[in-house]
Amino acid sequence: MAQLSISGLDVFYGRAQALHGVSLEVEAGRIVAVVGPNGAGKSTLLDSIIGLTRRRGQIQFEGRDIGRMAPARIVRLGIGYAPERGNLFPFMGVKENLLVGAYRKRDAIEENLRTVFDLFPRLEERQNQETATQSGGERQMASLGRALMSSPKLLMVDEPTLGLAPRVCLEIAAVLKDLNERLGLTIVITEQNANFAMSLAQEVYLLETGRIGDRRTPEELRESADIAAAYFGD
Amino acid sequence: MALQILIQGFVLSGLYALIAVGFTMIFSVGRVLNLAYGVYIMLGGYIYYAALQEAGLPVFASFILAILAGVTFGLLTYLLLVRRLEDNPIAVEISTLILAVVMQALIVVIFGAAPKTMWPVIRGVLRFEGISVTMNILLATGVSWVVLGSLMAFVRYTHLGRAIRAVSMDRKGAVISGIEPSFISMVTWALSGAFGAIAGVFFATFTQLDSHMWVFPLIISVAVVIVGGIGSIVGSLIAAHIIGFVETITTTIIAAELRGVSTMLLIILVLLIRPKGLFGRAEL
Repeated sequence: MAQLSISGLDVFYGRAQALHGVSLEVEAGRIVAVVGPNGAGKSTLLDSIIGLTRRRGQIQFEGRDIGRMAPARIVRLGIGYAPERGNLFPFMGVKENLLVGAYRKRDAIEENLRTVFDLFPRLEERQNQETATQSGGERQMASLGRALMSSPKLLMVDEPTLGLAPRVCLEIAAVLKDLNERLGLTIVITEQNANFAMSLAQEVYLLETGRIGDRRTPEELRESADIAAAYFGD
Repeated sequence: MALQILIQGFVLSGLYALIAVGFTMIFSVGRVLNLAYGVYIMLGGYIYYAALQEAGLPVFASFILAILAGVTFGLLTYLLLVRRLEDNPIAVEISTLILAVVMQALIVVIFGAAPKTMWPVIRGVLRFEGISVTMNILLATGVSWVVLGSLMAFVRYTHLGRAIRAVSMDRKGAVISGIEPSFISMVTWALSGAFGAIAGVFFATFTQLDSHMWVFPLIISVAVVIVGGIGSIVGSLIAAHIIGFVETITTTIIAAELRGVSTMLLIILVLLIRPKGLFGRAEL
């Protein structure tokens, strides 16, 4: 059975519908990418999984229905979330940001801090620096680190490469791969950058104006000419 | 006179910092002005008075009762009023102001309209170089420093304290970390009520008990938020000292009748020159 399984998910902001009957399956230990243009509903999808939106439909995590749960419980069940642009606490130091991430997981703080600092040595060097004064890349690292502090089984990352230099993107990609291979973490990312998504993910969903396509492998996607034209230019 | 201003300034500022801290907390976390905040101060004073001077309970027990009253009233304000109006700061401000006026009337009904004199928490006067300061106001200053120091340690070194700061800085970031903002709000309102009540006991011994006594502390609190800006306890502490010293200098050098006026002029001045406050952080 899939670790995360969504079917018929509708999400509304007021009277505007942001997601239309979205269905998606994520097997444990995989990296899955949701690719789509700006405004397609990628952030809304991840926000809905963690419980931040008014949602209708089925969301199951490890066989449990989380479609009506509050975020605090969903975090405790093992979903970590690094949202677009981080939503870090700007006037706290890096380490304090990470400690907030451990709010629901206080028995593994030392271990988790070690894991995060090993993955991102730069965060350890600057652990007392306020995140308001950090670079975009460092903030992305701090945001991933904060999500990891709750010992998640599934990590969701919204647009990990947004606004980052290519070199930093590669670094982030390497860390996500490492987390997946070495620690067996399931990873769901969203991306506008289809090439980045396909270099990382084993499975890809396309999301457009709140509607999702079928699950495909990166190879299948590359071969279908219409999609290639739409997403990868010439 | 310089020494007198220095001592009185510090003492008054300490009291003002204590008065304002509960108010600024609510503003930092919830972005609403709790105009019923002065009621916690009034309630603290009256409950302490009733317990100590009417029921004859010991000082410590009376203090605890006053704090419990503040906590209860703070929680009730949040649960019955503010939580239901959460997305509408103006509605919160209007309704908390109305609550304050209602409580003022209730105090008159229960305790009568005549002002009451409170016994000092401790007696005695300290004389130094021809300047006299009551032990009571020195105790108030000491309590203020202890309370604010503990609060700073609490928000910095505990999970719950950090969660309060997290909610004040980025609500979504806090929620996805597993923090429940409604719980954090309850904690904040309860603490605010407690701080208000503690301040109230000392404020009432410093002046007197009457049903209008919620107004002046509220003005001080608003002034601290406006002068200090939001974002840090240290910022409000400095703001309280600016306000306390400006007032002491005005009342000592110009005229005692100007108490309070200087504070309000300071509010307008800061609003005109630095609307975000002297230590405010733009992003918040």
